[in-house]
Amino acid sequence: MLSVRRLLALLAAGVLVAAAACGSGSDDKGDNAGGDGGQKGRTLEVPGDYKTIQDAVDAAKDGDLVLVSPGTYNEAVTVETDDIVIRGLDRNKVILDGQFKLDNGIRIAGAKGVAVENMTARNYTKNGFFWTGATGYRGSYLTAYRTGDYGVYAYDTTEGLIEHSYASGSPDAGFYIGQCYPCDAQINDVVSEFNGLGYSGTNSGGELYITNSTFRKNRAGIVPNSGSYELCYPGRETVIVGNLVYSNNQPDTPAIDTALLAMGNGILPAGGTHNVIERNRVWDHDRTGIGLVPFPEDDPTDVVPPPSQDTTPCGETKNQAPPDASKVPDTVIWNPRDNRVVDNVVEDSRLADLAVGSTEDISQAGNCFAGNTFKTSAPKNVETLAPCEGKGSGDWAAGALDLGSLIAAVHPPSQDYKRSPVPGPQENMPNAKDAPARPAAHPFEKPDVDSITVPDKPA
Amino acid sequence: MVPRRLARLVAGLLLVVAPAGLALAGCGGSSGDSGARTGGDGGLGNAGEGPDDAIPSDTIKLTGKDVRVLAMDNAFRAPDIEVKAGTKVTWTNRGHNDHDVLPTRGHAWGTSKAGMTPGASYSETFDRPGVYHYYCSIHGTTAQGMVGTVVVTK
Repeated sequence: MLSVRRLLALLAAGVLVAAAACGSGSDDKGDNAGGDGGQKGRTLEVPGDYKTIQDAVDAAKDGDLVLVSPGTYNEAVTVETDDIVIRGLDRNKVILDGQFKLDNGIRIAGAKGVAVENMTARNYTKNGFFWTGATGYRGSYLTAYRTGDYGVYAYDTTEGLIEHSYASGSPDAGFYIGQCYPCDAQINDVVSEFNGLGYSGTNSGGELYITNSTFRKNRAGIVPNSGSYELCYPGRETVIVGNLVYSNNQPDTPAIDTALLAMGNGILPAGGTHNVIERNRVWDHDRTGIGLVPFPEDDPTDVVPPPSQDTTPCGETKNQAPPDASKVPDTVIWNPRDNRVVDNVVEDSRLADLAVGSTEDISQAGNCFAGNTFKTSAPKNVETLAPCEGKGSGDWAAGALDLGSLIAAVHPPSQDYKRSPVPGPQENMPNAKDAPARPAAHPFEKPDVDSITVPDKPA
Repeated sequence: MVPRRLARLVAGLLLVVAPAGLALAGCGGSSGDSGARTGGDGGLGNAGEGPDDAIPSDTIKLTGKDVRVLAMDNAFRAPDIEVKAGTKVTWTNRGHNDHDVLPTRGHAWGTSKAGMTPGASYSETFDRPGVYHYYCSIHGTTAQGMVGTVVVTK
């Protein structure tokens, strides 16, 4: 889809300019083992060698490390060079500040293998850290807060890892991975709070893992969904394991419409298929702890594809002509299908600990529940109705999830993201000054999710 | 956009799940066209630029005098199209976010984000054969991200 020739031409021009511009102050200063790619690169220091991060990024070549000293940088950095690492020396003191005027802290546009480490982005009108159109990406020890769209955002991007990071104060999601199948990506050991959604991912999945993380005090916790307003629908095959998900009823966060609609739910795959939700600890939610619910889409661009297309790779659907508008209804409903909810510990949900609902025959939807610790469900006895092994039995109408009441509740309006709480200091990357640069050519490794147990409640 | 969108979402689901008496009226909103423009020769013909000859390999042919491209959240559908000279191409924003449509070279056509808010449309008639690359500056660069191409043939 993307013009490789144009990119090559631009890169060639950029490299030539960079080579001419950085003759001084860009000596080899470190043995930055290339990590995945085994490259060796230079260290480009900011502001020592280059006054701005953008200047250093523009001068960088494959394998280089852009090393940023403490300071506040009022920049919106765009990265178009493959396989570079951008690292702050101190996560809490290297601060990109958009002053509520700039759009993205760091935007990686099509560049492969770019890693961003150990810094903070705040006060951006769009996103803190944003990868798009890339293959290979990594974000480590990042903090994003007070961002007008997402905190850490990967879109139309595959083969990634987001780890040891923190996001708060976004009206959409603190962390987001969208429009990819297979995604080949993992979010691991992150904290997301005071956002509209702790995690969101539209039309993403396939080797996509959300693990060992904390989603708390958002409007809603983990909310993957489907929708034809982005490509590569439906959302599918997201694996959510070993997370702490609690108190996602926060009334005073910024929030987009979907976050308002989803408020008060812990893990809420909305219209997704073949998601796996295992061994999470979920508590204190005004509505459901774990809910499999429909996602209604008004004014869609397409109809819901049949299950036979569930495994169609994203790349095969990108360059299709828009559907005939006369054949698309005013509203489509993405119902949950074939999701698996197993061995979670769920408590203190005011509507239901476990829930499933559909506008179609839910008994035939293939969703299953087993081994969970819970007290309430909608419908009642959901593990008997929809076991993961064998045939279910019982009355689906008994205590059925009331979708109307679920969505009709009125919620406190969105608050200004510019006034979201300022987080405290976050953990620094070890040895940021001397650690070798590791571009993110292939950062994704399939996690051993079977080894992940239900996490304990925090003290 | 947010309150309207929420209202429509809620209304859409209520229509399906709620008793008829609870269904809300007015939920079937349609996208509002705005900013349509016909460039004709006065638009592209005065571009002062030579078309870029790089044609994406997966360009698809669209027929008819009027064809559509959707600007979705972060992507055009279809991004790379081939049309006959004289075809009017209409971009409609069907996503949640603002977009723009900018040529990668020159300024003879395209629209700023003021003309591509959610629901809005922008049209351009391509009379001169050539290859016209464009992008959304909000969600891409001239080379990557939300980019597209209109290939105009004789």
